Amino acid sequence: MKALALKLAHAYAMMMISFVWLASLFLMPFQIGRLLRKVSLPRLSDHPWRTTITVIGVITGVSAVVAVLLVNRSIIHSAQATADDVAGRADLQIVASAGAFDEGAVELARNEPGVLAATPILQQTVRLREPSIDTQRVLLLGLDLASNDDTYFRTHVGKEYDTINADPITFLDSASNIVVTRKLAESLGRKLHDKISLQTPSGPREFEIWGLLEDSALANAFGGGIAVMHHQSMQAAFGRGLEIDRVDVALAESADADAVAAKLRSKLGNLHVEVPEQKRGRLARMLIGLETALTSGAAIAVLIAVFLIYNTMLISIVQRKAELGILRSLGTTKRQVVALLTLEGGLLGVVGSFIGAGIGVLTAMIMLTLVTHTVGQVYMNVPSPEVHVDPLLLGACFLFGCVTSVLGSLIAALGTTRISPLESLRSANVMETEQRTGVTAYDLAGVLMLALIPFVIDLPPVWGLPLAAIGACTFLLLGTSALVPRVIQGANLLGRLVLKHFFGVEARMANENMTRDLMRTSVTTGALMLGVGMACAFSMFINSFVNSAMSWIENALPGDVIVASALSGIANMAPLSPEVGAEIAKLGIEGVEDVQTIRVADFMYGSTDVKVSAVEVVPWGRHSRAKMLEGTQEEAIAAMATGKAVSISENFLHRFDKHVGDPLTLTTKDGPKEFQIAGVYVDYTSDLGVIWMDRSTWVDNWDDQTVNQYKLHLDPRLDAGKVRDTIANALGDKYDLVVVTGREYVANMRKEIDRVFAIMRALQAVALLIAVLGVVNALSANVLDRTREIGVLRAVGMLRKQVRKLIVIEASLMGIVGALLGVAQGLVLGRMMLTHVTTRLVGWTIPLLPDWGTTAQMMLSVMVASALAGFYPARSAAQLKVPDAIGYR
Amino acid sequence: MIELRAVTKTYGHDANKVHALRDVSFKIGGGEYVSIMGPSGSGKSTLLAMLSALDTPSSGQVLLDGADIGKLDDDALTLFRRRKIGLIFQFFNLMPALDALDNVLLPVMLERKVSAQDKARGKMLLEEVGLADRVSHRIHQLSGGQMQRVAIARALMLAPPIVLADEPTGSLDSTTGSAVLGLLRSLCDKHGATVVMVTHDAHAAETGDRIISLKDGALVDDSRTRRHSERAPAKGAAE
Repeated sequence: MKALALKLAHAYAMMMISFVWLASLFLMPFQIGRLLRKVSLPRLSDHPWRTTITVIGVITGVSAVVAVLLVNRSIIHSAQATADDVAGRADLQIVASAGAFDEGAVELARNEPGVLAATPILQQTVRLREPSIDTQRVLLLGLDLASNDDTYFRTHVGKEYDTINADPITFLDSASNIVVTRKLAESLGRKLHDKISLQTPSGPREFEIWGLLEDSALANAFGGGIAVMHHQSMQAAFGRGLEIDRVDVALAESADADAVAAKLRSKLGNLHVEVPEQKRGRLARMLIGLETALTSGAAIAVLIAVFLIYNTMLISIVQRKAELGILRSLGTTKRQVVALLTLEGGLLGVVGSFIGAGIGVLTAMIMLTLVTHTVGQVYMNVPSPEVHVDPLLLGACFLFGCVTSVLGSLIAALGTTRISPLESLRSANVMETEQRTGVTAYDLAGVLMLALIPFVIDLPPVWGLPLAAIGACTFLLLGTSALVPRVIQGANLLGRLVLKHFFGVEARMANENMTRDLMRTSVTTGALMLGVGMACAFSMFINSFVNSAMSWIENALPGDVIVASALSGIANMAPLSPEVGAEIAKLGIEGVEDVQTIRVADFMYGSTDVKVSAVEVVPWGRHSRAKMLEGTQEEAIAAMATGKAVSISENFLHRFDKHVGDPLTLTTKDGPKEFQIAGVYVDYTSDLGVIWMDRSTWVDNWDDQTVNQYKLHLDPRLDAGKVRDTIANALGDKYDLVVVTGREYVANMRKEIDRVFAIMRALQAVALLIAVLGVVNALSANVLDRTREIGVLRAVGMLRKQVRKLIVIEASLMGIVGALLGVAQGLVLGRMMLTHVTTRLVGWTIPLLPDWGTTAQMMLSVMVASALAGFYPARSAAQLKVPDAIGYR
Repeated sequence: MIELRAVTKTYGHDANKVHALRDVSFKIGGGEYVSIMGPSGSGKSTLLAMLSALDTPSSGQVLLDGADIGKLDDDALTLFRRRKIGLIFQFFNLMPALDALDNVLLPVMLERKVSAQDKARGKMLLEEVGLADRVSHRIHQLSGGQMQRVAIARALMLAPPIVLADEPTGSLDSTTGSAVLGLLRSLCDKHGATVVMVTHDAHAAETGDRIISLKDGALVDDSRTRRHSERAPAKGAAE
């Protein structure tokens, strides 16, 4: 096994050496090229392990950055591409403020001067009722396939699409004919004229495949999970009456888009006419929370990667002090040595960054599966997006790896050449204690950045983003990082007082060694601090959010039995037909006190996406408590029951600065209507903001009878499990229902919320892992640096186990200082994230609740992991051949 | 005290085989002060590694204070070194993380918890090497001569029967070097230690009682010094 690993490392090193050799050929006319060939190449090939490990350090850093950034981009790209692909070439889009609208709008648009084409669209996600893939959803589009207008917007391409062209009448004549993408048909093992089963409001229904879409933007949208029907067939099969969801409008070349849009607005009254850019902007706003989370993850990955690459380069140079001493004593100038090391580091960085970018793409593919589920639950359905390999992004990451390697090598090389050639030769592996007295630039920068936080954090948002608060968080991270050397010196002084009583001379020496190369120890401890700090802040954030959300679910959304189309993600659930409620009533279950309906719908307030939550407020008030921020629950319910008032969620208040008593103008099916705001309450349904109203208000003004969830309140003596089974057995299959007890619902919500934060937890783990790798790196460098010193200690009687203990204590001390600093930093960061970033980003004020359990667990794990990280360097140190180490051979 | 019986040490294999020591035998009695001389590559460092129990012979026996070091495992060798041998290096090799007194006390720290008596002995040794006022100084605050004095005090801390010095004046100017040699000699005499000193410097070698010369790994000369001849009648007269 070891031989195989050695062979692999050798082969790998040979590959890199070939690259360096090629570079040296190009540089041969210059002295640096000759040095590269005569000095660097032999060394690289003599130490394949070391060469490989150096490059692996760069690969790890670059691949982490690439993976996180690619996942981020792919999600956003996939969401936007789906919107664009489905929208096609529309110049304008007509939508309602909520739900669907009458198809008469199409004719009105077509008749408007300047309009070249207008076509209706129905669009909804439906569940496949196939036994093999029961939970997969497809995006079903209802397009006007009878007229040529739709082909202007979308390309319907497919060899087997000709069947429809050959016999359009038969295709259009049935409400059971469908077109699917070739990708979808193949994944289901279906061919032309086979049947697929889809869930409709009246139960599962079979559709015949009449065409296979391929090689078009439409076929690629929604990850290829697309099905198309003639819009009238879809209206019939899915109980949509004469409704449509959107009208795509194309304008004549000479037409003025703004003028036509204005005319259409005046004609269509209560409908919105928007240009696709507006839609894209709204989409971006929807994804801002996710993007911020992923970007902050990427920022951690970048920061830690910088630490790792610097550390890696530092070690590779430290190992060569003696060799550098010889070079210097033979007349190589400082500048030449620095240039050589920087060039060598840069070349290895190029190889590492190149491979790292490739591995990053592979890692992104794995990560994307996890992230997609979260996005689907929380934001929008984006099934299986593929990794969007953006060449610019990959190029930037490649460059990042190269530049960091060059800078890392440069700083390390400058540090090494500070020592005189004589010193390098005499004590090739001995470091002198670095004395750091007086105020340094780091101290000043650190204190300045921390002092600026209170002044920056409360500055108003820019472009709706809490940039100042994010800047303050960055100041905290950088400021504390700059002060790490001082803290280590403080810890060293404290250690002198405490450690002399414990763990023997090894602890004392380990404590003193912490300040020997202060910069290197600080970099490692700083990386640990950042890893722990981020993890601690995120766990505090998650804990606070989960507790607030769960308390909200239990108090505001209680129910003994819940009936819905899906178990989670109420905002994205397919709505149920109102006849489900009637069917439940028909079951005549005794002891059912109330059956409540909940409708959560997308809504456009002005030109902004928000959500509406409609419930029967009076019965709701009998069972539930909302956390009111303005007004009382009783007053709000009384006002909402009149149909003239609504309440708004806390984040709606923050987004639009509306308060109790303010009028709120909403676009109803009959045009704009003014409602009074009766209360402001806490609601975690959506980060876009929620308008809460009585169900009758919603049905009367927006003509939407559908329901997302039924909640049954039972006589306490009744067994909720039995009621659940009764409903599930009677109606579950027909209406594709999910029926659960209240307790099961809450447990599932908890699981779902945890899953949402899985990405953050995964990023935390990666950050910590890289930071711990940094400890291995730094200690390996320390051991190499102190080979002679360890040899002397062994010579004067230090046992191998004492050497191991010394190094492990040193690692533990770094872990302890890093973890304690990290926790302190994390608690402040978590507080800033909750009180300033989150509140400004999504408008929720979440009460602080530090997760002490996880924090303690994390602190302990990092300390243990750091101690464990010391084992390998400790083993190397203990196995040093003493005569070799002190030059007796 | 020290006995080498037909000691051979080789490194490498086949064509790359190097004979660092070839069939070297000699005895050093208790309290003797012996200098080892020889040109570069003569095997001085290898011999010193054997004498300090840092390395074991390829063949033959090295007996130190009655113990055959070839038969000891790594831990036993380490403990033997700690308790029986005091080492003095050319480049001092003090621990920069510790102050002067702690450097002297290092062998004790490795052995057990430092007691008040240990501290007193450490201070006494520092006083004997003339560094009573440098007890709490860090290593980088000392001159080369002072560092070597600390190293001598460290070597004597556990009162080892054998003291090995590797070019102890190699990093010092001649005046400081002479002072250090005088100190080493007088202290070892006082503490009754057997001293083996490796040196290139003929003048330094003359401070010992006997000079063992090596060449190409073999012992080529083993003779008494003039100093020994001068000391012997004086010693006899005293008796």
